[in-house]
Amino acid sequence: VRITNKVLTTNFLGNLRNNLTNMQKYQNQLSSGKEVSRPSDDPFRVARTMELTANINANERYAKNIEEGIGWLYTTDTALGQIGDAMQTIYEKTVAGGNGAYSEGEREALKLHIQQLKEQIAEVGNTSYDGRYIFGGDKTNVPPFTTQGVYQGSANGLVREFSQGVTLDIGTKGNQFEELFTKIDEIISDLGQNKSPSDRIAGLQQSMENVLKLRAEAGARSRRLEAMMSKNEDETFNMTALLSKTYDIDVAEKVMEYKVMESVYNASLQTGAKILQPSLLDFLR
Amino acid sequence: MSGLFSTFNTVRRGMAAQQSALQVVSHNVANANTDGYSVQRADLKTTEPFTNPAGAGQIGTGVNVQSITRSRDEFLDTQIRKELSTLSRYESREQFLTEIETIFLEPTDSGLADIMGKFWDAWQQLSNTPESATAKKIVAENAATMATAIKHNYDQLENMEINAGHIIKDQVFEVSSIMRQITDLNGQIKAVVIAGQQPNDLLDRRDLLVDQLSKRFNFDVAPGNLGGIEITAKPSNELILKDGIITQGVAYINKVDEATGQVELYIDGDLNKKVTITGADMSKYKSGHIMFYDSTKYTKDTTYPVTETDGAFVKTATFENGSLNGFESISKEINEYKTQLNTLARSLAIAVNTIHSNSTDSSVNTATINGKTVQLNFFNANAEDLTKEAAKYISVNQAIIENPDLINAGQYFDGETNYTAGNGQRAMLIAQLRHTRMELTSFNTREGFVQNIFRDKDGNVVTSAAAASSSSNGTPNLADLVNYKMVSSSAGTTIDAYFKATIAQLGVSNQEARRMVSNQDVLLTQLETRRQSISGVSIDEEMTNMIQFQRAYEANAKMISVIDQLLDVVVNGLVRR
Repeated sequence: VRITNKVLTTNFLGNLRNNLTNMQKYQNQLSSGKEVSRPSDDPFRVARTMELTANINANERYAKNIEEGIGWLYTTDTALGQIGDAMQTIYEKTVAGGNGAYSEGEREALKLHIQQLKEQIAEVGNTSYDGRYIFGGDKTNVPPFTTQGVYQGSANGLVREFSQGVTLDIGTKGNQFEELFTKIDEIISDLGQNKSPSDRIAGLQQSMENVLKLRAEAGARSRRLEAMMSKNEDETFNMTALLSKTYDIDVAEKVMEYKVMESVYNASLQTGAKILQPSLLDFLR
Repeated sequence: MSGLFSTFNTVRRGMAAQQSALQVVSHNVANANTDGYSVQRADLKTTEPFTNPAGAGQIGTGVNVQSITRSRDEFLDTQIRKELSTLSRYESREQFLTEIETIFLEPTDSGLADIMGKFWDAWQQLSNTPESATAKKIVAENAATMATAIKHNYDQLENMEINAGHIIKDQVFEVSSIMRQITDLNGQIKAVVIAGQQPNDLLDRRDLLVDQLSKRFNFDVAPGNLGGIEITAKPSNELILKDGIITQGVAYINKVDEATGQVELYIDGDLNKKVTITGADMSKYKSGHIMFYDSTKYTKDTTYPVTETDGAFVKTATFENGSLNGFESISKEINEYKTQLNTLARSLAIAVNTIHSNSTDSSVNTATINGKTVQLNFFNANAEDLTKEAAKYISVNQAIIENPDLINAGQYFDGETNYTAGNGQRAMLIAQLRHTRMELTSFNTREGFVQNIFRDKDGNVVTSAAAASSSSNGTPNLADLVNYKMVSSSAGTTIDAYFKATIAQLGVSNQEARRMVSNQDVLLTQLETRRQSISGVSIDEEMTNMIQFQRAYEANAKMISVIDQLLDVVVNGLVRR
């Protein structure tokens, strides 16, 4: 093949440009820390990156929902515990009130005590979490109980989404234990009439069991949310690791590749400087 | 035997020939870097010998430059032109596709995918704390950001389409100019050929122009009369240039008016040569495209504008490869991305509005809340209109921007007796749209949307008429999770995934363009190297030739002094006085 000066320069320039393009690619990757910076770098990697980023973000949002749900249920649990304790005291007082030796004055004292406890239960029934009443169903902005223990909340629960398509009702509605106020009122009424409230004990026990059951339910739901939380965290962790594998560069590997490329580029520059210089003209006098 | 004077003649011819050859060498060296130049050679030939009847046979009479020829491989030209037009197509595509990638900004935090994610997150947060005015404000703001981003992307695509049109117009102008120059050169070449000469430099210049033309579209070149050429565009096999005449010129379609049936053409891409075509068959014309016009029928080039009737004057020009084909394909592709953005914006507006207003009637938009009369559209309903460019019109309802408390997160409508602040079921439903697959390319109305993904508790398709009594405004209460549920359509796709597919399509397109550009670059470098090895100027070679011709010239000159000495002997030495 006949080699002319233009063949040399064209080839040299072409190769130099290729090397420079490769250099730029590695420089981009190293300075951004990302494998790809535009869809055409690797369309499938980019699509995967978008998908993973979206899923991680959605998952993080669900984690906040779960956190909030757990907080809500813990508060519910504590409140139901307090109600249970108050009812335990009422139970004890009621048993005591059944004692035939009690005088009218003593029964009056019991009545007052139980009345206090009833108001306390109504107050606990108006417990709020983050400014929202927990026992009002979805009517969270109005205190669910009057001081007399009349429920004015909603009959709807609180449905929340905790992971894709998984919804759970985290509400405990006051109307599920509202009847205990009636039971307490009966006891108070008996005591007020200096009667033995022993007949009411069975009913009271039923109410106590009901509260216990509600508390167990809330506990079960918070345990479910805790399990979902750990699953959520695992998922986020796994997806983040996967995203990192898909999107982030392996710095050590990239630096090596870059160094190799750099030496190729330098070599081509040096060769260019050498081969393009001499011609017959240099030797003619 | 010839005399000494005849030897003088031989020497004179010799010197003249070497001088001519040196002239060719200097022309080569001067044009060593000229684009399209082919190295030239002086072909030396012995002149007619002198036959001596008495002596020993023929005696040479010297040398003559018979012709000056250029070194060129025409087969290689054909190959290079074909590959050049392929390269050009993909270069123009790559240029624009890379710009489109810059518009979409994926995969970054400022891309639409991320902005949409934040929009869904805001609804999810609202569903979790429906009482919160802040959560509502965040929903309104994120939605406004998203609408702006969609619109911004769309506007940029539109600008790019206009840009592509401008470039096509400029290139049509360039093509016309190249074609005119080729026909001019054909004329000059013809004159030289008739005179029996070889028009090397003119041929080089024409070849260079043909190379340039091949960057715009692909064509066949055939030899014409007396050194002329014929150019036939591919794939239509339309003869566009023959010897000294342009048979089919190129015109740019500037404007298509569907209503009046009028098309505005720029002849030769020149906006001063405006031709209006009336009564046009609109299917043939598309704004930004190119037509061939019959230049033999077109002689009225003195007064513009000119009016023509639709018929034989223009015909659709299709091109194979070349930048003209590249830009046309780009403007088509930009249109696809625009359509996809429109579908995305429309389905978003339809889905969110249907659930938020709980109504399949998009025309009504009221508010008032505690005095009741609700049915509020979240996005402006004109983004739902199939006849409009949804991406251009999508925006959050101004009433909601001004008062985010109008956002209804709950199952019931404000003012209804059942209304409760803590209910976030409607917000949850909207948040769930993120993961719901729907046939968003086929539902064009709210009714279609409801039928696509809503089912009642028995699994039956929900239509707005089916449960007229269950809600106050004639439609089933979609946020009533007990009786209705949202079910992904198996044939559908999520809105996020739909956008992701657009980005993947763009990525694949540009990846192909980039790959083709780099392949064609390599191929063309090889072909160009071969062309240079045939037609290129080698300085070393020319210097060697220079010395060779210089020495021959010097030797010839020396010959004169030798003959002079001989003559001196004859004139002054032969007779002694």
